[in-house]
Amino acid sequence: MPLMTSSEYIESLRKQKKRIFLAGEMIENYVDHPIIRPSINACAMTYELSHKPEHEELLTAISSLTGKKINRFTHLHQNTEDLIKKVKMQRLLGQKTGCCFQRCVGFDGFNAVDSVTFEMDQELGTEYNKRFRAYLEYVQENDLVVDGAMTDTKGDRRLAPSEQQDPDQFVHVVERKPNGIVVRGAKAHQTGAINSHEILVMPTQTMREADKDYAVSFAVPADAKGILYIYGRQSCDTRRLEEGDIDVGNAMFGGQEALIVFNDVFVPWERVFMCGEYQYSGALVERFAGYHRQSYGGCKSGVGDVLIGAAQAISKIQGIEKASHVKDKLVEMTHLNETIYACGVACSAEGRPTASGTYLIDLMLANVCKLHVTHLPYLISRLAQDVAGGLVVTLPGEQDFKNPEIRQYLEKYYRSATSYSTEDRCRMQRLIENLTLGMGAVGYLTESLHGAGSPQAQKIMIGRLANFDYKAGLAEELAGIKSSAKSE
Amino acid sequence: MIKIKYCGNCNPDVNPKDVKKALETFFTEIPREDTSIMVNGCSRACLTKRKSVEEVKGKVIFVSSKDVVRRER
Repeated sequence: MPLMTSSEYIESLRKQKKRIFLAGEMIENYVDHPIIRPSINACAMTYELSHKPEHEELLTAISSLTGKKINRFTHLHQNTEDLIKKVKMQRLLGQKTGCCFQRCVGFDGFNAVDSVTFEMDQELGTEYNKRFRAYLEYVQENDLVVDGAMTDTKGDRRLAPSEQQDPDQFVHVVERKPNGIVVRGAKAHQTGAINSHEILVMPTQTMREADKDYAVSFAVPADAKGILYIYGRQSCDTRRLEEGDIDVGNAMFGGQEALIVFNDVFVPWERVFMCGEYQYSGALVERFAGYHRQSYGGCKSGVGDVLIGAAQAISKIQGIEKASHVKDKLVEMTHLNETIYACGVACSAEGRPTASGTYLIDLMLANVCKLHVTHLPYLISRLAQDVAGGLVVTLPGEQDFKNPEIRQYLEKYYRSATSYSTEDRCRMQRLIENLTLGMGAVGYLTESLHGAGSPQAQKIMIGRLANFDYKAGLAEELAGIKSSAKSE
Repeated sequence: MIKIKYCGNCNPDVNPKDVKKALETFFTEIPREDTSIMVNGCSRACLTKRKSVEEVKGKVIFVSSKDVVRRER
């Protein structure tokens, strides 16, 4: 089963027995839960498009491990063309769903773990890469969704993992057995975790020798014994429990985040990819973050396309599409959006092979990409709200339109261009609300800010890679400085 | 039936559904088994640049989505 269909994917989730808590209650049938289901639909799109001839070039790849056709989300990048195709695929999926489709974290985790474990094996004589590739082959053969789990809860940020009052603030090894390890801790903000078949855990930061129990990477089934999920609330999420489909803005699709708790979970050795080798934790974090910062150049530009389209559509519905300032705003939104995309493509085009053969993006440009993503979607959202007008936050609810006494007034006073119905206007306003204030804004705005690392994390990396002395040398040369203090 | 390959259509100039429909109509009328049609969705022409295309056997024709839909009209 190298390529599952979207319906096969959804049915496969039903077979998993996950412990999921939402609004204080354990959810038995999470697949059909009205708050959760749109996020499953979004992830299912990664399967659906892989079967469409017009999209398969982006959604599929030939496995470097088996030679078989696989879903690109399970692929190890073999060249810069693969890296560019990844960004294009993500843009396409952002366009089709208008939200986070959640399958990138695992994809980015595979590529990071592969190259780092290969280097560990070369230098330490371990067998982590052999284990990892056997695991990835299983993932490819079964076309699985894997949650790449990195972010620990971190406790007191001033303290290292081993210095925390509560040792479980970072996922760590609590017991080593002949057949495997036992881990405890939690991973926060886990995008798509509940929609995943597997969880691939990685350390959250560079570890020191004292923290070696926290330098751990492994994979477990998402319903392994000892794992539970606590679903994250999103702005306006209970609108999904109401009748109707207008007020949610994007009825079919949505994102998802959860806290994953690992309560003494057993992991067999064949699924352990790092256990105590703290010297490699930094490289793993840096590469995963780099890949994920590249990802945002694709997915967020795709969602940006939807928001630009919504701004154009609402301008037509409200009869202002020919106003020069509206056209100018749409051009500005496009300029900002294409800047994000350009960075995603650029860091891919300048990628390089690692020792394992797996290609890595250019880290400088990937960090520049993500730093742009931390603020350009906010500017695009502001422009969309500007074009949409105040109605985006003052529009009465769908139920008001069903009230026989007031419906006539709403239909009369909220009607705009005659070629569109009042309902059309409401639907487009709600989509803009969704993306800039509601459930969609979780993915398009706050995830853009903090996902794959907050802005300061990118600034630290850019500062580290910038080579300021070289640039100073260029300036000194041109300025004619010849003193002994001149930069090298 | 003629072989049709699409670039992937990440950000196409023309709706891929319209392009697919037009191509299917056109090549039902003129079946050619020795020819592959490579359809680029936008001016970036990714398919034209991809190394994998060099391995395609027989005659290869590159077209843009805009050309395909214009032909239908």
